[in-house]
Amino acid sequence: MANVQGADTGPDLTAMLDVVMQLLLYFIFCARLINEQTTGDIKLPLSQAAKPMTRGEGEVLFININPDGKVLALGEDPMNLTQTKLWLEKRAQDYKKDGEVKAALVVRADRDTSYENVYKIMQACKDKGFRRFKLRAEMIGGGN
Amino acid sequence: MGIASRRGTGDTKVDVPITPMLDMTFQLLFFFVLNYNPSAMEGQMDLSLPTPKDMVKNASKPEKPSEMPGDEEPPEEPPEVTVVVKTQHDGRSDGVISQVSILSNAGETPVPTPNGKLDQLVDQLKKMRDDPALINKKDVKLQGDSRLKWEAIVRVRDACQQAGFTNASFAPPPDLGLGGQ
Repeated sequence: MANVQGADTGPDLTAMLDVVMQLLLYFIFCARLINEQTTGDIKLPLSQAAKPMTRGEGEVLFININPDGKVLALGEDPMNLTQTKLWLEKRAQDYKKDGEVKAALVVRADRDTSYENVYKIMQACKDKGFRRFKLRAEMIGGGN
Repeated sequence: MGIASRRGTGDTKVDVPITPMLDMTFQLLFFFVLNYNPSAMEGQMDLSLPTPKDMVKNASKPEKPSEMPGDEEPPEEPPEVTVVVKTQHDGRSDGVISQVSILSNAGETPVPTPNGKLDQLVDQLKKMRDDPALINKKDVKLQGDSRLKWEAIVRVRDACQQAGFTNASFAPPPDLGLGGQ
């Protein structure tokens, strides 16, 4: 019989490692989706008035507006104003509770987008029932 | 696999195959390193748009009759300050600020913007806030040309914020529909 020295009975780690790897893969795929909502293609304007975001703001819907005035949303091709209105109508229905649209709209407009495009899109959002808006900008000096 | 067990003694040695696990871990690390894309800190600002009620009220306002000398003072305009921002249309510098003016009860006041800086706008707005005739000292409307860049509007908004007008709303561009999308 071979001599076994000081062998401890330890837990079987193999199953636990499997679960850990599963979790890692899950976070990898989820992280990609979140990045698409705030696409890096949009160059935000600089602002001193921008404040750091706080958690617990309830449901939010992201709208990215590129320099051509097209709206970029998660899972959608770039949309013009008409397509955006249809999309907003569907989203407003999803977020409607007690007759009100509860979600806040986070508008990420590129710095080179024309004011007209941004105004029209925000007006469309307001027409579809969205009442809470947040404008995103790059903070200068750490924000207020 | 080197798993050895010994009955009766309780001494068991379990060998965990570390090598493939390390391979997997380095694969994942490599993935995250390649996809690491640090972005600038984003902040956000609350926004308000003119309500439908305001737009209907302004649209249905009757035209003022011509004033005769000695007549009673006409009712005051709504105590609002509007910052009007214009841009150039020369096809080369479209979108940058070319002219800024402040609309108020006192009329239209042009504000110089040397090299595109808005310091004088901030000073002018602060003076207006100090004026006791101004009742609403928090609200300001921003109105820009259709082709004005969004970045310029945000800068003007910042200037208003610095001057103490914390509640900025956006008015439709005067040439709305001419820019096209």
